[in-house]
Amino acid sequence: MAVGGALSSEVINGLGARSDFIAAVPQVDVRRLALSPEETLLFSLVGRAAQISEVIGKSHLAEPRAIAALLALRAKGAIVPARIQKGVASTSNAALGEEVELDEKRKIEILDFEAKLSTSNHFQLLGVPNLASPDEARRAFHELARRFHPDRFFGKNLGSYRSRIENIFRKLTEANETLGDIARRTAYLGAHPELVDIPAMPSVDAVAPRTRTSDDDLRDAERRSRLTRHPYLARSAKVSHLIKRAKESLANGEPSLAFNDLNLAARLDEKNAEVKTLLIEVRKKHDANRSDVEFKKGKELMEAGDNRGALSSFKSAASIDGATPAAHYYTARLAMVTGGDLKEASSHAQKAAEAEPKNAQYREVYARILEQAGMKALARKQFEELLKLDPENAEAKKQLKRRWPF
Amino acid sequence: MADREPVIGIDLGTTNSVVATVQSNQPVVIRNRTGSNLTPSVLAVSKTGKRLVGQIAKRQAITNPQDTIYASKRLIGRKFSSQQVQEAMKVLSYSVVCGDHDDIKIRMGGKDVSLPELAAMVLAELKLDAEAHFGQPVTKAVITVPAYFNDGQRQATKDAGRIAGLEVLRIVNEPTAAALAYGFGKTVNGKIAVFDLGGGTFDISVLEIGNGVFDVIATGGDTYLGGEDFDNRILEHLVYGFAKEHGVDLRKDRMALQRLKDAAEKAKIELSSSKEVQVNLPFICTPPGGGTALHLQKPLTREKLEELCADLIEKCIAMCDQVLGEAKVKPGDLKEMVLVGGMTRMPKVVEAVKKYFKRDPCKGVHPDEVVALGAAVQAHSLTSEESQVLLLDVTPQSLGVAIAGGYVRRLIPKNTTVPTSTTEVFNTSKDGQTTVKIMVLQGEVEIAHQNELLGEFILTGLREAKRGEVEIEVTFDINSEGIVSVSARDKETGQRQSITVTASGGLTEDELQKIMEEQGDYLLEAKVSEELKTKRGELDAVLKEVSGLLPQVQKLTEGSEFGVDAVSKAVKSIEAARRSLEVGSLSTVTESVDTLNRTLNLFRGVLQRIGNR
Repeated sequence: MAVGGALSSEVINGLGARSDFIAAVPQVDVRRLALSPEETLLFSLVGRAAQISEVIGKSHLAEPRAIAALLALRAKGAIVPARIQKGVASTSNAALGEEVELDEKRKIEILDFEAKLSTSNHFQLLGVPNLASPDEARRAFHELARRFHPDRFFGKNLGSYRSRIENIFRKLTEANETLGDIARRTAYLGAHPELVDIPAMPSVDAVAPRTRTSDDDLRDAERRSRLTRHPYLARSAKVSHLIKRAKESLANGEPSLAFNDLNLAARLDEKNAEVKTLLIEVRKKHDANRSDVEFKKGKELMEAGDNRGALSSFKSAASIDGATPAAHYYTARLAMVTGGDLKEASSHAQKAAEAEPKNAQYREVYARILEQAGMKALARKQFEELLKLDPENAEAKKQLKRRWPF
Repeated sequence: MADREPVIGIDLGTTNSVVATVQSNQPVVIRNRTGSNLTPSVLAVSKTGKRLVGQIAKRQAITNPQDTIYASKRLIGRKFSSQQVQEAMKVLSYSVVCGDHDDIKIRMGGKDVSLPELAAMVLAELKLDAEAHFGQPVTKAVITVPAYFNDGQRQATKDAGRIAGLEVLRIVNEPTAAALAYGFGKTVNGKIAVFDLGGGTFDISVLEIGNGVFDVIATGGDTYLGGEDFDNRILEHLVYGFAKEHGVDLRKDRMALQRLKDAAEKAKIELSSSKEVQVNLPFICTPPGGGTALHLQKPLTREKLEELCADLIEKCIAMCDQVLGEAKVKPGDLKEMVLVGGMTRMPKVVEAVKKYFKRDPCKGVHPDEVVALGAAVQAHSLTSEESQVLLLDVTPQSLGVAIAGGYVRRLIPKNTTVPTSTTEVFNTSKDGQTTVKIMVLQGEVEIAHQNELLGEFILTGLREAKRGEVEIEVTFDINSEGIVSVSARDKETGQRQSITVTASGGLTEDELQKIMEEQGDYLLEAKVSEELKTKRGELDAVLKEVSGLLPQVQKLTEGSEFGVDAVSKAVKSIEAARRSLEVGSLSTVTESVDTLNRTLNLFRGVLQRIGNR
């Protein structure tokens, strides 16, 4: 058995040398194997194929436990020993010989990781189990950043390794930022349904009764389960499940939940007409609902004296399509009194004033914001308008009279 | 020396600058040659044409308001026509003039000087301080800038470093540097916020620290909100009151303005510890119609100051709220709250911060020095193998391109960890379009022209086709140095155009080259004069000794054959030495030292021999 120079030559019975490779059995149905959490972790670390020592090292498990889990995976038929000509070897021989300020070990580390970039999903790249939490992903990212951040190699002659390192770090950043942001994570999982634990198709369950354990039956089951994992079928199953759940949520008066589900569904299947019509309907309800909720929250906060909190609520309310003029008005007014962005405030004030041109209150806030933003001429015009609406308005009178003492 | 070349960290502040280094694994501030930790970021050209930097420049500001430049950092990388610059000019005692590309020049000693040059003078001074400290040349530095500085402002600061003869290893954000210094050598794990209210700018950053990795989650700020604005509020209040009382606008008199500015700053600082101060400026001006001089005497209470500046503080807190929202953390999630910048000594600021973050701020850091210390830590961690510190910083503002209809398409959102890159495919927007213009923008506004234009370029030779048929791939790249480069590629032909964004509205490469040459002379001069000083000291000492021995030698050798011409030669060289001590250049002084040393040896020999006889 070939043994890598620097690595231990110890042989693990049933798996091979530590420097040997193991591969995941293609198309294996993980759900039916009833893996323990440890086994699941190791299985995800194997990815398509990986070196045994590397998998053990990355698992952060005590070595005997890691080996036991690997043996269990082997026994369950999830992994097999693999004779892999190191994928990178052919292209990287030249790179390994390149004269740069890196030692051999570092070079191999970089080349190995680079080879993983194209075949790994975001979780595998960070070396965390599938569906790991954003916090876990971030911690793993920090550890990897310590190894691959370009600053670690500052001022060194790196030759072709510079772009390799930068590329690795970029991919790590992308993985971390995608998994850490709720919206991006949802989109990513939507595009990779194989990562999500989908509800089983009825047909799979129908096959399950194993009255006879003939080879035929087993093969049938295997074929069906492979079909359900085919990206297209997995997707449509997920879409119909999501539509069903969305309809339920809608019936229960929870448009926000329905909206989330439908959004996910739309991303999985862009052409689905049912999803589209439902989405339009739900979006309206959802928007109106959200705007309303935010507006109420804003009013409550304002009464409680928390102007800043109220402002952010009003702002969200006003940012939603079809928001009421009142939402715009309160946003503008609070932005003005708390010293917020006057440009933004003035656009809200303008919307409110234009929606209800006869409302003196709206007009006054618009005029005052313009005044504060230094747009004196516009402000003056608005104050004049205001005076027409409300001839007794003290602020307008004062503003139209005011003069700087010199 | 066997040691590695020293590296320094510089906090180039609006009002004060600080230089620091890492020594035996501890970040320490390097004192300047006047013995203080802070060097005022003030420059002046004195009436005799001498260039002054730091404390000396600050001290003579009142008598020389026109040629004393302060707070120039507030103008760096800005356009002359921008609102902030136009506003600032009303209360500045020096003249700001418009350069060739809507950039800013400052008139100083009858010459128009660019802002990077001014910043370079401060940097050069700090470089000399560091060299005096190490006793060897220093060329490598990390310089800090406010986190919310845009690309133009960062480039301008980098240019300043180059002009001062420094290799700028990295431009680091001030709050990030503060966090580095705060977390250095401690085991901190968790999220912290840094609230940095300095002389000219405000920044707030949220970081996650774990195992020596400092990961910036979100950052935000206002590059035009700081102590200067507090001073200006006081100044305006005083001017307004004076105008009401006497009908005179004090801002029209440069010297009065400078005195007022000074008094406003002092009053503000005093009000941090006392409840009330008297602003006392006798003989502030003569009334326009003649008559006896007018005095400005006015009490100012802490309450009044707080009232005048309430909106400024509120603005800071609103910004904190926004950035915490972007970082998706609640004030309660934070492990620590670090206050940075001189303005955080103001009780009202501390109170507002405490109220919002619901915790007492960290007391372990020095608000004026922590940024420079952090810069030194970063400089050290970049250049030394064994450092365990890693900084993951972010882009403070979004980057994108202008698209049809005058909108922005963002390619890199703000708070993205750098280095980073992203690619997106665009289409032509008109039928038969064969060229596209790529305008690179920085900022958060949807409308294209309200953002900062970093640069633009044109991709030509596209196939003539219906709109939307030709595809153009645009790639944005921010490398680990924080420099933005953009390229566009015609997907069909593979033709490619690209730019590396350089300071727009600032200095062109040619101008920079020219300044560096001019400045090179100055630097050489500065170093030589240091050397000259020590040589002069040497000459002075040896001269005293020789002149002391001369009468004795004259008496002893009188009449002997040894004497006459040797002694008269010695007298001549003593005279020559006296002259060169007065006016000599380095070479003549050095020569005199050598001659006198020889004479001294001769005298000693003579005295010994005759004395032994």
